[in-house]
Amino acid sequence: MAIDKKASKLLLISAVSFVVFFSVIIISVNNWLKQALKEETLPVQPVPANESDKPKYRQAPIGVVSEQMPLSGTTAGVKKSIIPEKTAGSGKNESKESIEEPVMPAGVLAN
Amino acid sequence: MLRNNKGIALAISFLVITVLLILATVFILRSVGEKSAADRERKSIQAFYLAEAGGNEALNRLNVLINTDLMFTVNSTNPQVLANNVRSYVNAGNGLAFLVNYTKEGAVAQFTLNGNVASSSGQLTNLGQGTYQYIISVTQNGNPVTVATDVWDFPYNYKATSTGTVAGSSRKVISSGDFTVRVQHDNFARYALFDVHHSSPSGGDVWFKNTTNFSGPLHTNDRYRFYGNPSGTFNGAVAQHLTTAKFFNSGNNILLDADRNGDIDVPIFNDEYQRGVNEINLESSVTQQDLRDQAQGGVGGSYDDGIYVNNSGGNVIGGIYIKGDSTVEMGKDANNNATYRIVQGTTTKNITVDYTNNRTTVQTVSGPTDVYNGKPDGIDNLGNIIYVDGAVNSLSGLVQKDSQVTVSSQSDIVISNHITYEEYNPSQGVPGQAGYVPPNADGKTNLLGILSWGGDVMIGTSAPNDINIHGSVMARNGIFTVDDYANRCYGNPVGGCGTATLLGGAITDFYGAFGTFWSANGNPRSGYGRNFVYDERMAQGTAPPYFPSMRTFVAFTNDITDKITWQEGGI
Repeated sequence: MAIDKKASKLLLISAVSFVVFFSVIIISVNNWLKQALKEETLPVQPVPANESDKPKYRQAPIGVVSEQMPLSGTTAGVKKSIIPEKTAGSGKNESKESIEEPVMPAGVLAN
Repeated sequence: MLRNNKGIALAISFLVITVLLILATVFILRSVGEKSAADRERKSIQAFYLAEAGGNEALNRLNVLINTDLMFTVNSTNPQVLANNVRSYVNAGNGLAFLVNYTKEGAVAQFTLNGNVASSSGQLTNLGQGTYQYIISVTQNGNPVTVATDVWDFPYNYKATSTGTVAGSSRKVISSGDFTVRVQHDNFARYALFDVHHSSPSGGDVWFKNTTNFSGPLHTNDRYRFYGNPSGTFNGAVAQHLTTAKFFNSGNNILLDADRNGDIDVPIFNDEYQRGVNEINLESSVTQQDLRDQAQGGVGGSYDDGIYVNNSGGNVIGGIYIKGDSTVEMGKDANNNATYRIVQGTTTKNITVDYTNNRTTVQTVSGPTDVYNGKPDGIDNLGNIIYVDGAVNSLSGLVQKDSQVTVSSQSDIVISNHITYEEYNPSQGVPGQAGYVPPNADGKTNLLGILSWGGDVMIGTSAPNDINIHGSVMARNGIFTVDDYANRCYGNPVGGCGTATLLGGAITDFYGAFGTFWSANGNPRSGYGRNFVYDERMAQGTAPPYFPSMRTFVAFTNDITDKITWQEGGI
């Protein structure tokens, strides 16, 4: 089947136009996707002011419940160390003895 | 009807274009869909991390609420008012009311009570491309209890719920656990050095210099004195009441509101140096008579000179009470039991404390041996107590690893030789030099208090060079000093007796001298250099048994993060 010259020209122009148009669309979408994914990064967790402020626990994987483990050897709880205030009193000494302070030679200081 | 094939190319072209347009549309729609899905996933992950960040902050915030806000409010409340209020909360079993009413910042309550839940919310915080917000919910974990007189425990559960949000996508993280708030009198043992007057009893200057090293907190109601460059190393917070410090200034002493005097007198502060802080009253809630009562087991009356382990029905009912001047040597026997060899006058007794079998053996030299049930740990069973109505002319030895003991005297206590814990981690390096690691007794049980009510605590003339003393020293109305410090080791080629290392702390009325040095060049002349190392256990509320405490109260917890349960829950 013969195709006349005008039709051939039209086909060629249409094909070239479409390729150009399609290429432009592909490149644009591709660039848009690359740019969109590149701009947004995952946030970083805030870092405690110092190491001692950092909560001492292990992180479990997402969705998993974990029993936290202390990192140091310190034990929980506190110790008894106080006795009751049972009797009234000033707490002052009942007697006071003190050593005599030596007289410093010239050029000598105490530390 | 078409008369020829002209125009077929146009039709084919449109057909091809149509097909390609359809394909292109599908491609674009798919790309947009995948982008949308990736966005959702990314936002969800961002939201999770934000939620987790909020959870971390919530735990830190809870720690601040208890150990700063609650602590400050309790500590600044009139002790009698505080005690009365706390007793009423305990009696009513209402721990939440205590928490809500005493956790304040600038008089503003930080918890809101809603039914049986006290809540504290964090502010909405922006971070990255999103926000997080947390809420801390606290409930009672049983009723508050009275542990001893003026000591109470308030148990709580907590739940910290944090929500992270990024562009409409939210995730939630929940951390929960429990903690106990202890309310008790503040104690002096938490200082490496505390003195009311930072001078000798006659007002003479006692200087910090290059042989002075402190690892731990310092406080004086006076001002500190600094000599030379460097004038000591301070690895802990240093605080003084007066606003100016005294600097030697090459002999022309000067008062400055500064932490150094140019390059002439330069202390090395590895933590803060505060001036103008509030005074701390050395007045204690524990009296001398309290300790005497504990040692006597409540058996009052007149005692002749001697060594007493009061008992009833074969059970020890108090501690070790000594009337008259004495010597005390601590140690352990072949079975690892704690031993105390006590000499008073012509009487010598060897007292052995068997922790395994809860038994005390009192062997009188050239006399009988008696065995009792229990330990000489006072009426309240807080730890071994040795009380001397007189002076302790010699104190030395080893504190057995299971022992917690306080040696208390009406008069002077003379340290005649090393006093060391059986279990501790030795120091590494040289004090004041880079890389020095001070000794510590973290995690160990052995603990010693040396307490003189009316006299001084002195390192005696027979003590060795480079002496080690493990224990908290308190001279309630005196000083901690070196006997004959102006002449000890004078002429020694290396200059003085070396260094006296204290693992614990010193709480005194005045600041006793440990040695002397030449003012011209700072070289040691006699006595000891000073290396005071704070026992970190004291920061956790630990103190030697029956050790005096302040009248004011503290409230604290140290177990918020010891067993956290963590979970992630979606929204």
